[in-house]
Amino acid sequence: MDDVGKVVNPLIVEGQVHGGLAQGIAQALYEGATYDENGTLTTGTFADYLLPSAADLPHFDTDRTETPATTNPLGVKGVGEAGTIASTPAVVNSVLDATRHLGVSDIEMPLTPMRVWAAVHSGQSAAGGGLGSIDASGGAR
Amino acid sequence: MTTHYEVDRSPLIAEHARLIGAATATVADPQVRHRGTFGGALAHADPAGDLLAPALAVEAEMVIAGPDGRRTVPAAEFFVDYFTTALAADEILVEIRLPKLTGWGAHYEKFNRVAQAWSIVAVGAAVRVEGDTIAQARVGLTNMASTPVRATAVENALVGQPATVESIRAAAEHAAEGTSPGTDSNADADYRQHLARVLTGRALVAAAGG
Repeated sequence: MDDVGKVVNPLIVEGQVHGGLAQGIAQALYEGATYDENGTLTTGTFADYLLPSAADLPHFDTDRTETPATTNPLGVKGVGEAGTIASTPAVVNSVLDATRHLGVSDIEMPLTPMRVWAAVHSGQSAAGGGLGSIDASGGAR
Repeated sequence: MTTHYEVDRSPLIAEHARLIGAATATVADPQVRHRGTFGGALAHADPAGDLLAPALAVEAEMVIAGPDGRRTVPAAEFFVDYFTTALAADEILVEIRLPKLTGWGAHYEKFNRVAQAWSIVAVGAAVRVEGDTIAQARVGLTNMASTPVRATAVENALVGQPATVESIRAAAEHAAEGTSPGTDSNADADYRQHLARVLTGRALVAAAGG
């Protein structure tokens, strides 16, 4: 949900929001630049530095209110990266909420499958419950 | 040369070599599957490639041609190391022979982070169920060592067992035995071994179910 002021071209606004959502989700789950001990970039190709494609992303239902800006004659505001801002914390916080009962309080971005797995397992040893309890009860406590 | 697309669409593969077909359908994207070939993928021998472990599991045979004629090498001896096969510098792979596993269920379970990426770990499973019992099982692991790995401990634990989720999950706990996976930015060795156990369970359940 955004408010970009007076919408001049709805298709471009929609595209900007979709792209922003993808970028924000990618920061949460995929994109991360890493370096080795010599300072050499180890994520120098798109096989290592992951970008999601449409196949990796959900369907987006977007909406907007339209409150004209009062500081310019067109009533327009910026839409560039509007979807980016909230999507990163939304994804990260949802993962943390889903794993909180397992003793997880933080996971470094990007939230790779291995990092989530490691966090759940370290939370398991700290909390004394964890995955074993999920398997035994057939669902999260 | 047989493209992945041809393998994917072959009625013979669908009837007699379902595991090869299932793995082929997951290779890269449609454009690549129209240009890349089954033999090329095996000769390239990337341990993250999706066709090596299924070829090993179904006991494919490689027919190799060179200056001294032809020789046949079983898959278990064909894959030697990272990107290294039994092919000599003056030899080429001319034929892949697949045993008929007619009536077997098969499934290829692939784990990666984004669509079309290489497998972080993947598992190919083929199962022959007689009544309610697992009569035969084949399991191959992708990217769990410098070569594809046959999960023989899992296979041995399955034969004669009831075709249930419980017995399959118990057998799948052996999936990481004998593996020596590498560590990279996607996964440490420990995590790969965890994935091997989980994905083996999923692949076998799917294979036994159909």
